[in-house]
Amino acid sequence: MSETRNPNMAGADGNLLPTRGVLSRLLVLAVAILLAGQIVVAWFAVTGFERVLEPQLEQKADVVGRAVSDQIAYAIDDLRIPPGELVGVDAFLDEVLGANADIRYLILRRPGGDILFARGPDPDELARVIAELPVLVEEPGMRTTIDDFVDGAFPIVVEGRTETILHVGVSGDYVRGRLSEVLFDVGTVILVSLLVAIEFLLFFVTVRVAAPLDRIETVLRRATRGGFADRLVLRSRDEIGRLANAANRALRSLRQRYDDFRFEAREIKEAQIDADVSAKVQGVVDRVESQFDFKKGEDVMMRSAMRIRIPLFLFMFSEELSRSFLPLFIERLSPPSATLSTELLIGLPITLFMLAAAAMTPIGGAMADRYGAARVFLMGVAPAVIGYIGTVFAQGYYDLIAWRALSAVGYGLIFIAAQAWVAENTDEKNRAQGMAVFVGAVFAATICGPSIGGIAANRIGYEMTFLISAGLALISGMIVYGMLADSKPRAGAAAPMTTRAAWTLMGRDPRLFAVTVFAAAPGKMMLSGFLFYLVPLYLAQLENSQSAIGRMMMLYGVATIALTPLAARFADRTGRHASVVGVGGLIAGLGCIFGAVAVSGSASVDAATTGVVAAIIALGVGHALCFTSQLALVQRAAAARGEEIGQASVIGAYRLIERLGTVLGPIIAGGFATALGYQNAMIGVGAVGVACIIAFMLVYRSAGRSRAPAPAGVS
Amino acid sequence: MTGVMRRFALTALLMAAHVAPVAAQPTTTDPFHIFAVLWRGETDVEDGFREYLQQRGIPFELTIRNLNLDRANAPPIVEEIRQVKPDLVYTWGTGTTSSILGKIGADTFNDIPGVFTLVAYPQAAEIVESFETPGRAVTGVAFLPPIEAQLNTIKAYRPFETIAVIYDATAGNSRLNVAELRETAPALDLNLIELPVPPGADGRPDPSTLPALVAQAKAEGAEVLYMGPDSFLTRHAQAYTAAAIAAGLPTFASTQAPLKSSRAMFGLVTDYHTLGKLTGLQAERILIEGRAPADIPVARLARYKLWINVDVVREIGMYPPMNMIGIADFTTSVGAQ
Repeated sequence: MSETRNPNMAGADGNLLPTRGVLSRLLVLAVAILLAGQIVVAWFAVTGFERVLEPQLEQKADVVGRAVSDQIAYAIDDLRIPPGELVGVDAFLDEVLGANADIRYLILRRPGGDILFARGPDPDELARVIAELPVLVEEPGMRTTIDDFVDGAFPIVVEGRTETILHVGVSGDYVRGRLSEVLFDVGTVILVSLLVAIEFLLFFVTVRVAAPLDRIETVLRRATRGGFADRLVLRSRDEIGRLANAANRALRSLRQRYDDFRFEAREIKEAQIDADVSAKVQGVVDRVESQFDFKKGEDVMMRSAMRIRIPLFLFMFSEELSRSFLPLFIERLSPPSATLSTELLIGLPITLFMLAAAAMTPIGGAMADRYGAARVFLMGVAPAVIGYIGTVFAQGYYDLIAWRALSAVGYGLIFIAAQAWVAENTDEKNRAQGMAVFVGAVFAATICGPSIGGIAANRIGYEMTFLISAGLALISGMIVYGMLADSKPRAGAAAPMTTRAAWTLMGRDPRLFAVTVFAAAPGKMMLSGFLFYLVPLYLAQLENSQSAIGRMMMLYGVATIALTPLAARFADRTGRHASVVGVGGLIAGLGCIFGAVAVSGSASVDAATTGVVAAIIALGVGHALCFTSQLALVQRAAAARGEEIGQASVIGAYRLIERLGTVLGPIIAGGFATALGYQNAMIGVGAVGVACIIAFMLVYRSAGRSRAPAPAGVS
Repeated sequence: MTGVMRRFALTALLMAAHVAPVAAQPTTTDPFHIFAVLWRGETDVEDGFREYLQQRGIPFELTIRNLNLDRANAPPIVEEIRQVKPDLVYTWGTGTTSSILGKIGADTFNDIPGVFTLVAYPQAAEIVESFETPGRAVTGVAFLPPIEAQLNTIKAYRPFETIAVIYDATAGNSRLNVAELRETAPALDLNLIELPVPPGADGRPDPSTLPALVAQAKAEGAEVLYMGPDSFLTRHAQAYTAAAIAAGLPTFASTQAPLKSSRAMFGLVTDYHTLGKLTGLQAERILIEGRAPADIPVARLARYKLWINVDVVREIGMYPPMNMIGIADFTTSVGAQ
């Protein structure tokens, strides 16, 4: 253990997270038990649903069959219209089919078998059914199974004579579709609840157990080497707190005994007449004092970067909840406009949100330096919550923009405050791990938010889901309120980066320029333009349910979380960060293009949805490759500059310009969508991404040739 | 004309409804005196009107006079109203309203408020200045369904392309109605054939020409006949619709009378009873809320009834589409064979 290391910051092995031992075993065990329990409960729920759904569908077919046959009976019997001369029956039956998704066909036939009217979406299917209709119908509502349909037959009897028979077909497909929808929802909930459970376990285990134990260990190790002056500052009163108190008491009692010893030694020394003896006694006292430290210890605090993880996760979760339906919600409130297309009107509030959030980051950074991270986090919670509640009650397009902008102010502040917390609670050595705490919370939220938000919106509506967001944001604020005392302003932090300064920096280094402008910014453009904007709108147009949309968007987060560590390890091992960024950018861009092109010939809604899903996964994979490697390239560029500019400034400039991509994304995608429709807008956005990444590769390569190779090993 | 409609050679029919308990204040126990002038006797409108006032607990006393289809009967009734000074004058139909309450600018009864009902075009007939602010001590209820709704109903029954209107060109209501048709029909892809009834020797439209006009409409390609708020045609509706059925042409009516009393095939009409209740609401606004009629907008019903005469349907063999069967009111012919 290095003597220079700050004992407040991290454990003996330098890790912020518990990586081995009892704690990680506890985590694995807890997750396994949770998973097993959830699967059992889910199995019961799904089989129960199956049992309930089928009879309900049959009952519904019965109700519809009776209502339709009653109306036809009225026409034939009361109005005495001959069955063959009924007018507008096709339109009438289509109306019934349109209003009942579970009913697949309606057929009106004579008892002899002649078909009078037959409606259903697929003529071939209809012909097959007609060929197999039961000849004899004994009682109204009689059920037969034809192919994959349950057929209900309803005779229409006039004066004791069966005039016609109505057949109502319920599709087994529909039952299965509903069932798989429920299965997907259940699976999503299991996945998300596991993630949340892991988040909380990790949080408690780290903050409440691992970090304090680590501090206690630090103090005891120092005692082993003779340092008895440290004091553990720990507020908790649990077992760990008692252990820390016991250690404190042991050290205090040692210090007390040392004082007693010194007193006695002085007494003995002064009682001696012989100067030699007196000097010997003093020698013993001096030796003890030089070998042991009873005075110059410090207060060992329980600081941990991890503490921000749960509040940050909850807040990001609250914002991600609306991810899968925000464009659709905006669309509902969009006014007709002569100057802007609906597509652009939908994109505008998203862009303004990103812009407001980006504008808050330099301000938030300065505020965090001045007031401390926790205070700024709290300052962000207030506008965010008010913005959410305002959104719940938004009356029109323009006040919606205002409420969203208010939420964006909170979002921007909290985004920066969380990073500032990490900076406050880490040092140079474990800052990267600290940032992993930050990124981990954000990623977990990108998985949980869209999927749970989609399910919630499906069941309780868009507005109520925003109310959940407000609640989550409020809880995150309450947790951070408890952290206020431990958040101290940092002195002498770097001045915030201005846009102009950022561009100047970029202009000086073509490689930095290439990474930032041609790789990172287009990546963010695709994220906000494709995933945040196009995906919800296009998938809704393809008639996917809100929870299905959320689930599909979740795949982006799943892909990035699963692959980011692997990609980072691969890039670091081979040192080919630039190539990894290039490949990642190509996968993201080409995925978007092929996701649309491959299915553009097909009229099938399902095929088009599959294309979008493929593009979402490709985007996640591509971004997983890019994330850490882009940063490594930026750090390499900063290192090459040496002392000229600080690394923090370079990264600040990189982040600033990257955010411009996020801001522009919805507008670019909206522009494409206006001119070409959603499917072709995917191609457009992907093409921009591909063009930029090719530019990146060309510029990066040519800049590399014209200059000395960058120092290796920076990652 | 009709067996359904009640005809009274009316003297004064007094009806006092005491729903409100006897209260201390004489102003609330004294019934309001409403003086009603009708065109051709009582209809469901008056039933609805009475029912509304009774439901609301408004004490009233109704005096009823009848013009018996002739404006010449108006002056003595106007004189009587001037003498008895009722709290409210109620008039039925455009003819009655303009001959009793007069037109814009006239103050026949020295600020006794008037409420009219069953007037097709109150603004065009110069009874009020505008629908929003009548501008005189008179307000009321307009009753025609919007012309688009009428024509859409016709198109929904069958995709007709040519429609003929036979009408009394001497009546203001009819001329306004035809002008509206002329304006709206092209937008709904309907050709309009206009056939005014030619005048007879007395200068008034000649009912004997109706069968020939129907035949002419048929010859010119009409698939459906349109019957607007036309008093002349309503009076001769039996002969007119019989000629239409003989020619195999369906008749669409925009008022209730031809459907009730003759053999029009279908129509989009105002329910008279509901209309009467709406008139009662207007009366309440004037009598109880004390609002100035000049500022009470002319009211209109929001919903109309689709009537189909199933006997005529069968006779012509033009069955209604299934989608209409669920929403229509089916009637049978009065006096059908």
